[in-house]
Amino acid sequence: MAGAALRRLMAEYKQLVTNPPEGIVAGPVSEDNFFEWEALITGPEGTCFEGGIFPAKLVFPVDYPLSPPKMQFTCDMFHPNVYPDGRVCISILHAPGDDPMGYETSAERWSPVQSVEKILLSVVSILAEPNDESGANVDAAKMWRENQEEFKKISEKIVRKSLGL
Amino acid sequence: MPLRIPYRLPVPTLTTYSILSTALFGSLIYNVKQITKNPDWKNDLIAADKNASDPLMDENEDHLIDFDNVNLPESIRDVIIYMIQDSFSRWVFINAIICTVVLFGKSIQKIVFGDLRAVEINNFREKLCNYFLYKCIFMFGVIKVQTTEEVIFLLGWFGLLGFQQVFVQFSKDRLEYMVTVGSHTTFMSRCKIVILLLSVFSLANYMIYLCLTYGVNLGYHIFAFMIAECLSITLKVPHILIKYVIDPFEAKFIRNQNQHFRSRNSFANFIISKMEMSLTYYVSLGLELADLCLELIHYLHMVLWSNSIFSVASFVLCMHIRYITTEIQRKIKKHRNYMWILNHMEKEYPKASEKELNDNCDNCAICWEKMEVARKLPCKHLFHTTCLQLWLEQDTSCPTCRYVLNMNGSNSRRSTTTRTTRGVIRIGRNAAPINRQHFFHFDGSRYVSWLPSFSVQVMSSMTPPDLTDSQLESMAQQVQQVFPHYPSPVLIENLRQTRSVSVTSNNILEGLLPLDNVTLNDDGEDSQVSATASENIRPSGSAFNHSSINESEHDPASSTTNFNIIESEFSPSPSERETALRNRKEQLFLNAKKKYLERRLVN
Repeated sequence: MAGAALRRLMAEYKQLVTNPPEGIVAGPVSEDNFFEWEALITGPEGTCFEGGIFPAKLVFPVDYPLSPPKMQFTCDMFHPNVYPDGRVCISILHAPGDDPMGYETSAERWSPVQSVEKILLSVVSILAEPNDESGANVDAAKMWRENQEEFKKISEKIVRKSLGL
Repeated sequence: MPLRIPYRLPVPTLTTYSILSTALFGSLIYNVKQITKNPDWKNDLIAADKNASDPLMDENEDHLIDFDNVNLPESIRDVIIYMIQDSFSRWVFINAIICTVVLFGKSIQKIVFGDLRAVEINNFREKLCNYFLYKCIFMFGVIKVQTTEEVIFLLGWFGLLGFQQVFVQFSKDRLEYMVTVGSHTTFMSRCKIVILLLSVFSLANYMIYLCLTYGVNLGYHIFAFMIAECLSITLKVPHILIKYVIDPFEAKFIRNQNQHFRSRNSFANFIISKMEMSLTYYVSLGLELADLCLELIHYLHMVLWSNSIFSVASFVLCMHIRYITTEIQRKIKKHRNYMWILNHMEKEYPKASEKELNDNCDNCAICWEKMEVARKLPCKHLFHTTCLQLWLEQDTSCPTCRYVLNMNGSNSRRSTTTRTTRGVIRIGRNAAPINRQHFFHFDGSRYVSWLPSFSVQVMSSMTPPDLTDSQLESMAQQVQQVFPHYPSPVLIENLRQTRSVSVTSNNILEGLLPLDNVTLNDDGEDSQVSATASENIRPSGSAFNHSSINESEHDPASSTTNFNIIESEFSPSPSERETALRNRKEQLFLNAKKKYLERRLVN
């Protein structure tokens, strides 16, 4: 079981190295433990998060890819779909069984055909276009809906901080 | 019932404990030496004992005689005799023994396991606390020990068992970790653990032998209590060995063998591997269940024997029994589910034929490995048997297209899915699920805190009718308006699968619809068309290589602003990979910083 997870993660890592998606770098934090990765995600162009580099931690379960990994930003992040502690709340990261927000159909949830690359691309897409229906961070969701100017200011700060400027 | 313990227990660390014990023992020896220098110490001691009316008084006489026969220097003998007789020094002596034993255990752990990981320490603490609690309950609540001797004997016995349990737990955790992390474990460390497990196993067997020879004299109940724990260890060790040592090796072996003899007799090999797989499965399941049943009987025996149904001890024991029964039920349910799925797969999802496998020319979507043998779902997607089975244990839909598999009857129905949530990339590429689901969600707490939240889901599943040719043609025309260089037969073929204009368009945009054979067959007229089409189509994939070159000639500035994606090689050495990854991360940061600053300057 675990061996299968390891082989699959290795294959995904290989794919991410040889054929990397734009603006995304991901790999195991240490080669000793393939079940914990760090990913760097570039904020998509033309959005409030443009240009920022956001590090996130991915923790894989032993039965990956049958169960989804957990993803958590390790930098400051103010976004409707990211909990204040950095955990990312998107439906494809939810296991088929559980439904924390109470309204997803199983079709939107995790399936073994998903991959690290697809998860990271989904996260890029929610950075570009937050989903304020499932508010993981209620303050951020409210601000995104009602006060885009303020939201932009905060995200600008986050981008600058993520670049160490 | 596993006991949850707080993270920080007020237990002294091992170093302080051992230092204290050594200091105590040392000072005691010194003290006793001082006392025994006085020639009258024996009389004093006996007088003191009489005053205290020690119940062990009679036996003390025996000890005195015993030690007279032992060949030891006079002073040391005196010290030992004194220490055995004085009750305080006896306890200090026992403490010293415990300390030595603990240190011995610690050194074994250091040698075999090295440093422990946080999880292992946590498990160890939990296990130890539980063990301690239940043994205390057993000693004082169930068999109600009376004399110090009994306590000491039981402490020794349980201590030995406790050590075995702890080592078994460590080995299990460590082997599990090794199997998960895989390549980075040396053969030596694995060997050490196996040797430790085997010695624990033989020790447990020896203890069973002791039970059989001496325990029977103590009465059948005591005998049953004693033997249960030893048996449990002798069941646990083979289980761990099978699960974490034999199984992975076997899997590797089978895979190698399959690669060797693939061409010759793949079917026979498959059968053999399957038999072996189910053999290890059944053996480990049997061992697990036997262990649980043994524990159940052991605890039931305790409750019945303790005679006091309404005590705290029996309450705790009953809770534990409840925990064990649910555990057994869970195991059996899981097994039945497993068997059921296995049967269902055997019946409903046929093995893919050679031709289908060749046509598919893709890896299993679950494990990303090549498929030699595969099963076909009704939606025509292929998966490895074991991969599919593991997935079906937790969900009943096709992993690729979310086709809902009807696990209750023989028929399957189309999945009813929605595409409501924004910001989620949908991956279902081949078949577009028909949306027949209406959804209403009312979040009352948003308005007034006491209002309830509820959601209404209306599901209506229906199999979409097959599209007629005329419909397909009109749809193909729609697509062709956007992508004129795609010939309509290709489009119709894809539309027949996707049933949707937008999904087919997406497929084209993502480069999933191969174009190269089309453009190669056509004349120069068509390649012109494809060049113009490149304005519409984002170049992606090899099919668009020629047009993307044209584009960069037209607009060289656009390519320079692109990210510098380093198309690096995937190195086979871990350290090289690590450095390459670090470099790529730094490169990404540098590029982003540069870009950010440039943009700030422009603004």
